[in-house]
Amino acid sequence: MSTQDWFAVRLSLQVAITAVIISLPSAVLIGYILAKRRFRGKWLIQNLVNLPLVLPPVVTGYMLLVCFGPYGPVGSFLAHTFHFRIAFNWLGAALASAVVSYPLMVRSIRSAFSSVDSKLEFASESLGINKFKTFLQISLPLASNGILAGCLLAFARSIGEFGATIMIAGDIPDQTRTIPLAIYSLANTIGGIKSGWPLVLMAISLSSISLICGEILERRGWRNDNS
Amino acid sequence: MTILEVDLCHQFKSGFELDIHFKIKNQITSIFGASGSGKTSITSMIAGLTKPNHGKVILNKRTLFDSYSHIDVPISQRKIGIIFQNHLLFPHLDVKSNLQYGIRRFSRHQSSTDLLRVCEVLEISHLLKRYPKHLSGGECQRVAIGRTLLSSPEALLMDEPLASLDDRLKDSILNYFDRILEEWQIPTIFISHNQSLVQRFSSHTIVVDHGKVLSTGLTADIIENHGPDIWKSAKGPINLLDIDSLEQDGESSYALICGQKIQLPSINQASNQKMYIQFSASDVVLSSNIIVNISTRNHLLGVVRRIVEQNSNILVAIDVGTIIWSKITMGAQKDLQLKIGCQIYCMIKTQSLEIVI
Repeated sequence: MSTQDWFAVRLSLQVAITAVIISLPSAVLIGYILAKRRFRGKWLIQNLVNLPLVLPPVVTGYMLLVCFGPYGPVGSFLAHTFHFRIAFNWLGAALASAVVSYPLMVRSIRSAFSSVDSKLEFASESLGINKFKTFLQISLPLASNGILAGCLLAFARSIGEFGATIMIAGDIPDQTRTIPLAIYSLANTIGGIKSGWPLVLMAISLSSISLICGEILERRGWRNDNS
Repeated sequence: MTILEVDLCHQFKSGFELDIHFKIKNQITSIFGASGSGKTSITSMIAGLTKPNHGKVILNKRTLFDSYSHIDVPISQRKIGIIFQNHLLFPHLDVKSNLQYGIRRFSRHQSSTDLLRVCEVLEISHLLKRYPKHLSGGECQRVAIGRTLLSSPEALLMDEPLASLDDRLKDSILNYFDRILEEWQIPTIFISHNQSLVQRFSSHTIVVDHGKVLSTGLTADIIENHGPDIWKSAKGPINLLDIDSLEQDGESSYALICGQKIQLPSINQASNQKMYIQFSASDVVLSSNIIVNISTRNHLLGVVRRIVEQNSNILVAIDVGTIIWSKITMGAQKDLQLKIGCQIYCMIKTQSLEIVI
């Protein structure tokens, strides 16, 4: 593998890990609320969360560019106030990956919280522990394997993200060229198809390992042995 | 002094209406009723899981819920210890952590209940490092009892705590209940559809049916005076008699009950604990004369106190020093010419008797 290929691998890992870190806190909160709470407008939140799953990634990227681009409301605010740029930067790629992988992460976390027996949470409260501490001490640990599985799923999806990334981060060598962008670039050069193999195999390996680990964790989830 | 005052009105979406009013003044009181009578709804409203449409719940002069004053104390601040049918131990915590879970809120102060003493009384000291999945049903229930005790509740709510256990374990857990209630003196509400358990466990009973209180009072009075009415849909009637003393005559064991001698099935082990004999009303054969040369070993002479028709059968309450219920057909009643006040022999096969501790 060339130096540029290794850069693409390192950048992809950096982007995917950052995307997971960005998404995790809100995904845990939204997943818990969707699993455990009943309220009006729940369907709306569900649909909003799932939207990136059905939208073409290019559309997601387009909207991110409109919002976070140099002339977008958020992008121009960040540039003028903090001299901080998201578009055409590796952070843009991380943001795109976070948005696209978000529904997968929330789904997994929601499913993990749903499998926590509500009676255990009630038992905890009846022992004098308030709702927030019950969440921290009972719900969260019991859903931890499902949450980790969600992270790995989001990580795998981020490794493979292409459409939204190219829209907001562009394909800048040694700056925003992740594995999928590098493969695309190689495929468009004469004789590049053959030299793309190492990156293709690397992408398959990283995604497969993440998926298998996620599956193992989800199966190992704490089982409620009370019934 | 009133320990718990409950006044609840609630209309469920299914159409079921709960309209319950009672006061608990005794250390141990049972709420007895058939499945679907509203027991579980009462439990969840007292505990704070379900919010009633109207009413109030007052525990030891502390208002937990009052729809008129808009008071609704969160579950975590109600100080009601709940012992569930399924123990609900936290599977990711070992026994020690489960036991200590409820103590945390007292971390700045001394918990009023001592962990070591709880472990000693419930005989769970050797289980502290185990996880719930490695415990038997009885062990899980004992740990759950200990965990609830250590949260220093002002009252205990036992919601069918023995329903998921087999008969042998029920006896064992009942003994632990006796021990903890004797030692910690916590007012307890025992919720059950099982007449014999209610009879053994509590001196006072509240009978609920179709979302309403049917009867309240001494358990013995309810069994004697209201018995058949409340057993319409509940499991029963079951006769449960206190054994005054035991006698051994050769290979046979006898129990002395209100001065009458009853031959028992073989007892493997003599016990120092209180013992009862339990048998169904259908196992009691009635005869106007004593019959000799019959395999039935136990012939008790008594006086008919009540005759109640129930679902084409007749339930007869006979006073043999204590009340025994017999279930007979209408034809048998006619042939025996049963009347209140007449003398009758109750014949019970030894093999029909079950000894419970």
